[in-house]
Amino acid sequence: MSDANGRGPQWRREFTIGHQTGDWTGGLDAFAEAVERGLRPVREPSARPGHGGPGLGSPEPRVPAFDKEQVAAVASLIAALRDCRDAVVSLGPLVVVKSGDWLRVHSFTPDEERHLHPAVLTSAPDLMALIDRLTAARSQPTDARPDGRHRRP
Amino acid sequence: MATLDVRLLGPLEVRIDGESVAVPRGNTATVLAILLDEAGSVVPLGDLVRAVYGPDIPLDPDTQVQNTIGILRRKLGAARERLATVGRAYRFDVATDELDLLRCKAKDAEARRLRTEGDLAGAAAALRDALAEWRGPALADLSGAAVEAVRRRYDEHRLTLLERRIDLDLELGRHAEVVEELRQIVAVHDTRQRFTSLLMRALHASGRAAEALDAYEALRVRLADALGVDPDQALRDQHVRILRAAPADPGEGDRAPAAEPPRRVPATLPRGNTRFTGRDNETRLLDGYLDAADGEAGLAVITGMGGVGKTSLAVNWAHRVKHRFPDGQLYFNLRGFDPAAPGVEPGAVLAEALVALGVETQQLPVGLDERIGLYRTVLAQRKILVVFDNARDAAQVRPLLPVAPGSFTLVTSRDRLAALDATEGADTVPLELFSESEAWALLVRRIGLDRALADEAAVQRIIAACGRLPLALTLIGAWIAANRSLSLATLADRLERATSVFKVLASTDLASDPRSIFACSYQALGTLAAQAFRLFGLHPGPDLTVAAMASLMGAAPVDAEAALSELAGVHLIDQPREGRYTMHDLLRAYAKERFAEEVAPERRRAAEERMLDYLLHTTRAADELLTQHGGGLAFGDPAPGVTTEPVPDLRAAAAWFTTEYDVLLGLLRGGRGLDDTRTWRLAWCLAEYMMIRSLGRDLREAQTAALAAAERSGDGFGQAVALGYLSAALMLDGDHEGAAALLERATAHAEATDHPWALGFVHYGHSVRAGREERHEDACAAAETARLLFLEAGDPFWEFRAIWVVGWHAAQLGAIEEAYARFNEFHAAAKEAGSQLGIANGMLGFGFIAQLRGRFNDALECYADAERGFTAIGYLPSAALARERTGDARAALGDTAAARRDWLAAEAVYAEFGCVLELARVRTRLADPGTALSGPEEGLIVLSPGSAHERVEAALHKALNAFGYDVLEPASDETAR
Repeated sequence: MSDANGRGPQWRREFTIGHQTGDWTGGLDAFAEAVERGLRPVREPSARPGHGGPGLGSPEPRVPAFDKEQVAAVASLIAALRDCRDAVVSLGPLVVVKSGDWLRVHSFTPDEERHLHPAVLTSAPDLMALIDRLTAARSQPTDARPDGRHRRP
Repeated sequence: MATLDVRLLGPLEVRIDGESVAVPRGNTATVLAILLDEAGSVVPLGDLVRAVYGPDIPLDPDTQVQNTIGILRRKLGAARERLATVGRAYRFDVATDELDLLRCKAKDAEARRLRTEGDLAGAAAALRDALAEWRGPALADLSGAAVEAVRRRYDEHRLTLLERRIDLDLELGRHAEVVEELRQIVAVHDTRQRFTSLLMRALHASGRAAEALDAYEALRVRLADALGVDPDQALRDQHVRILRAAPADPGEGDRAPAAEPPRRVPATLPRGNTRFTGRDNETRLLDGYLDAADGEAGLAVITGMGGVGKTSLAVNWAHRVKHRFPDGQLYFNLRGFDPAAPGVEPGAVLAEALVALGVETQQLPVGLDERIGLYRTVLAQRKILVVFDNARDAAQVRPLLPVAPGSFTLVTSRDRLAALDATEGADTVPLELFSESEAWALLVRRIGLDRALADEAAVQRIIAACGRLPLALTLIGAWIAANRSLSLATLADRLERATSVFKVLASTDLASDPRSIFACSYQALGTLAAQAFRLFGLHPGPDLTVAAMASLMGAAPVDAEAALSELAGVHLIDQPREGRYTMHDLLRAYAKERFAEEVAPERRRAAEERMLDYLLHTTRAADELLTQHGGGLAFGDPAPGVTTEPVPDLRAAAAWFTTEYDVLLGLLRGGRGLDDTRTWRLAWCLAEYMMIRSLGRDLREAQTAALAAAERSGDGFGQAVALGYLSAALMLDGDHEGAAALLERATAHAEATDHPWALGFVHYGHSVRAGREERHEDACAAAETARLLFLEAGDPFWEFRAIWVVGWHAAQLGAIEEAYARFNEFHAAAKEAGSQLGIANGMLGFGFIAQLRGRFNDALECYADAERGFTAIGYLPSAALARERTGDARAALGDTAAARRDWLAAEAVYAEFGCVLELARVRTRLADPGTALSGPEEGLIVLSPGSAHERVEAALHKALNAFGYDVLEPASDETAR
């Protein structure tokens, strides 16, 4: 994300968004879900309208249905990001990050937001690493072994 | 009085009243050279004995040297009175213009002064004059180990002068003029990287980039062939800059680039040992462990006794495989077995690591857990090699282990670190004494095969006497190599006669006494280097600088630098990085032993005092820059002979505290000869740094020691200050009752001293206490009293600090106009003084007033300025206060989501720094259900160079619209990051 390799300065823009009807973060949750779905590999066509994940055959009532316009817009955004070497799109607690071959979306909890150091937000590799760590932490039981295991299999 | 003209910088020449005097070569000339090397200073008879005879001391050496002095006096004739006897020592008195060495030093000093004043041409001319004193290699017609050591030092100094002169010529734009001269110099000094760097710089600046690249390539090949190493990092960086066709910078080459890349690739390995020998099996083992790690986070431990060569193996192996770690290499000496220190704390290592990885010093978290978290975040996805040298135990290392796949950690320790093996899956490489063949190979490499074969039996005896300990063999090899005429059999006899047991190794299975080996190197040192060696162990830190050594010696920095250079040349010390020197634990113990046995008590005490004054006065200078205050009591001048570190700016001040904090706190904890006055003064100088970093526990500990010291010495001023800061420490912890009681005691002492600054200080404390209890009227009144007292004491910094407090609490009381006037006065004074801290505080005050007046957008601007200012100088809790206030203003504007984020950010900093009251306050705001609603969200796009940003932006807007969002406030784009 930097000019360390002599390819010129990174491009950066700050802005503010507001929801047209006041459905503030709820709308972003749906947006995050749509991006996440857009990132999943599609193994076969969805059995039911509105159900497009890999969990084939099992109903997912909490997953919102997205209209064609939303699906196309998210697909177009993902395609645009994939063409960047590194990219960070941050919308409130939601972050979409592309680094190298990886593209991830993550919604930061208020507790996790304290890790969002400004320098991390401008470095896609560092942000990717942070998201990996937080995702791993979310999935660990509380008495899990901490980071730092070096024993090889 | 007879006139003298003496020259050392070439063949030795002495003229008296214009007539040449033939000084006999041999002992007489050696004694004269040593006395002239120390011209004007007393040289003990013992030093002269060592210089003349080295280890082969004859019967009654003192008489022999006294006879030589007699011969020398006869030769001096009319100038014989110049050689004075001082007890059992001698001094040669000579004026600056009578000795070429002194003339050279004077011109060098003149050049430094002119350089500081900005007169580059004058400085270059002075250096040319200094260099003109040389007529060939110093003392070219003399021989012997002592003379050789002096010659090496002088000649090294000459090369340094030459580098500085050419550097100045380049700064003056004389690029083309120095190219040919540099080519000739490089042809002679073909592996001295600095000259090649200057040549590359001259060629590049002359538009001859291709030739500059050729010069680099030629050096790279020479280094690889001769030493098996690569050019150093600075030169590689210079090469990359030329490759990228960056415009030539007149100062490029040996300086760091102006802007650091955000993702720094560290390369902090110390230099490899170019004569590294043996250890083939262990190297293969390590190679195997690295291969077996296969993308996982690998960990290996080298264990073995002191001096067995763990560090050499670790560093050389690290250099061998560093190409497999594109994200860099880190090296840390954890000092786990340093007899003078308790070992480095993981938090300090993490701080150093984070800075090396590109984290700004002011962004370093305080808490250990936070540092570990940031360290692992920064290292995630990086393939990095980390070397932890001299670990005490597994606990010291465990928090520091990187976990990223592809990283590899190598630890060395005298401990087996079985715990790491058990819990972390570490692979262990036990390192034993050298085998006979490895020991033979090491010695032969240093002394030459012919010489070894000529007396093979003696070499075997020397190896046995060294106990096959690599450190001992390295030192003895260097010593033999420097003494070509020495009989190996005589040396072996001498080593075998040594029977005493060196305490440090008493518990080991060594068959020999390493002291006798260390003594060989030590006794061959020149007078200054021997002095520097003895004094090295006095410094309480892991490494020291030229200024520190100059202070220990009571000598000029140029002499200290030369002495350190000589010590490094014979492997008695290492130079892990530019400007810092370190010594092996065993040698440090030996140096302390020499110091205790050879130096008279009054000189020992004087050296200790200079050391303490060096630390105290440099800390004072750093503190004054950090806080822009110089009030209270004047410290007076440091002891004669002390050279303090230059602290030209805030960055240097911060670096001093970061580097030396543990050493300074250790002094306060352990005493180490710190007298009462220095104790409370040092604690005072550290207090504001500790306050800024909210290091409440350290502040309490330091000020407790300070209070005890001030009480012992009956110093009322010291007691008032210590009690005042102790009270502040309790306030930081939220203990109001305890703080109030201490403040009352401080007030009593301040009143007893009747010193206006001390009185102002305690009244200021009362105002802070009242403010924290929200008694704004009391706070205003106490701050106003403090202001008047600081005015009387003539301390503008504290006076304006008090003005700010008055303004802040006046605003709280609704006296907006008065508050505004105070902040205006404060801000104007801060701007005039160029105080970043003052300006940031002023903006915080203006923001508060704007908020009280309902001008929230103005308030936001002021708070943003204040936060930036505080962050830039590392005042992070103050930056958090500005952020908290930003949240208040945003909440007032109805943007509660953004306000919550600001408060959460402030909360994180308060929690990290342990700011109890602030934490409670901001949590009250966060708990308010009225602020739990969400509002507009902030957005940010950051793209790597060359990305189609219009396409990404358009796609994002379209997607946001599809989900019911509008972009409300597109801010200006920013591309220069």
